[in-house]
Amino acid sequence: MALRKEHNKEAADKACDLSTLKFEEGLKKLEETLEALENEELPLEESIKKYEQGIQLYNFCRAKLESLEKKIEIISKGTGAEIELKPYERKEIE
Amino acid sequence: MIEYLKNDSVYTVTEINQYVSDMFANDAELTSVLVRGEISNFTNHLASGHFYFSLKDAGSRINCVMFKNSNRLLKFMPQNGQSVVIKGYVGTYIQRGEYQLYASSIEKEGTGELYKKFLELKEKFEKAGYFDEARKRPIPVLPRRIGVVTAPEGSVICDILNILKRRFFNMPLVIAPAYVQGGLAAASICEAIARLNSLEDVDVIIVARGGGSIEELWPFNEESVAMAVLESKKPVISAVGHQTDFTICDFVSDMRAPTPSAAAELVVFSKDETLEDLERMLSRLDMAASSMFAAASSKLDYLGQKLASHSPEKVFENYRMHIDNIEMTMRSVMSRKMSEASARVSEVSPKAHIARLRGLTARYSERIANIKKHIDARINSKCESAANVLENTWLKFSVHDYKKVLELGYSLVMGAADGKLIRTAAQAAENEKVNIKFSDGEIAAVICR
Repeated sequence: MALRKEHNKEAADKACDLSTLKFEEGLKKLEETLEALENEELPLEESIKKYEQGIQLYNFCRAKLESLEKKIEIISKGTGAEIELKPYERKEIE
Repeated sequence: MIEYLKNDSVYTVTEINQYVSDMFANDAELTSVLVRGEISNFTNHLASGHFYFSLKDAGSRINCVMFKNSNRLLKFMPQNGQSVVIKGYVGTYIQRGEYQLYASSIEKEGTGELYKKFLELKEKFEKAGYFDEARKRPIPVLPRRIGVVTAPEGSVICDILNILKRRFFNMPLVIAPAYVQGGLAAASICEAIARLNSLEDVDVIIVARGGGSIEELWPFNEESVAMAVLESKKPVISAVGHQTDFTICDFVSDMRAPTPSAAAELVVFSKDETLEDLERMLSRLDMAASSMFAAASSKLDYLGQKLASHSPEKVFENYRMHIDNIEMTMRSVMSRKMSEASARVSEVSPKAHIARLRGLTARYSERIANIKKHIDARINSKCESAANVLENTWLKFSVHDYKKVLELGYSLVMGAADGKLIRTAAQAAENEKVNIKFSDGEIAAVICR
């Protein structure tokens, strides 16, 4: 039991470090946070912490989705560090 | 035979068929051919054990025969509709004046030499563990950029881009152009995979090609391509050919997609759906939080009220209320008593009251008068008896008056110092000064013994 708690705590701490978090991890943690908030009898203070964490994760996930910049390119030449890219355009893709 | 023809220009049927038969037999091209087509009218002649059938394609057909000594080597029973490649020679059946294909072997389409090579490589790689599920890397849920190895001019890339546009319009993509068929293909596919591996933010690679024959798809069965896929640092999705086409590339990849479009569907989730999911989760978060706060604040209110009820003001207020209560009770009791009393008072009329008082007064006056009379009588009788007693007493007393005694000649001796009566001789001391009282006066004397 104590061990599980310790594990949860670790997971919660990890959730706060968003810089290294992957999108799918963020999404999973958001689901877990929500689950905990909805189904567990948490002390008020911990609930507030979970809520804030949830909002953080939500913002993180949204940002990840929106941060990708639409860019279709094609490798024109080179390999390794000397690789050269140029925009790719096709009429067929409306 | 030529001389014979020269002599007579009319041929027998047999002669002409024989002639044609010889022509066929002398044609090097026809003595060993590979013919692709579809089997129809297949008959397994039970008596002879020979196979008779036709081979056809969209525009033509040819009769075929496969003799017993050839067909017993076949590992499958040919069926109508089957696409096959037949090895054999074209010859004539003189009796009927027909030429036909004499099959020495039949291979199912796709099960030719290349297919054998494919099976060999597949077996080799399978033994090497290259197809193990454990080797397969997870495909990232949200890649930073997708790399695609394909022909830049083909329809495959259009299919992929259209699906990306629909599912995740802002997903960045980079194309590594490659030949996807022919002799240069394998090397260019390998190079394309290597190039995409050198782009840091490419998180997944799709190797894609549209459908084609086994020969056309062959580069994806080359060992070099398989090794490039195995050695790729980034996970590879293989999307080569149609649903029914399998290549070595498919088996060694981290994920096989049945078609290039399917690969695009697999590599990105629907952004809109995910955004909806996120919004749902946000509102659930808000709901959970607000219900939690509501519960907490109602509990707090309750406790606050409870606390307030114990504040000094409230306690004081309670006491005041208690006192007020007592006062009110007292007031109501008093007013009840008063009203009861006044009800009693009003029962008695003043006149009757006065009359009663008068009656009482008269009665008491009479009693007082009687008592007075009685007392007077008692006092009078007491006074009379007292007077008698006094007279008698006085008479008795006067008999005993010492002066009378002195008149009889007696005297009294008293100490001069203390005036005390000396009643006996013993009381008198030697030389004591005494006074002797007589009826007519006193004289001083001294005791002399």
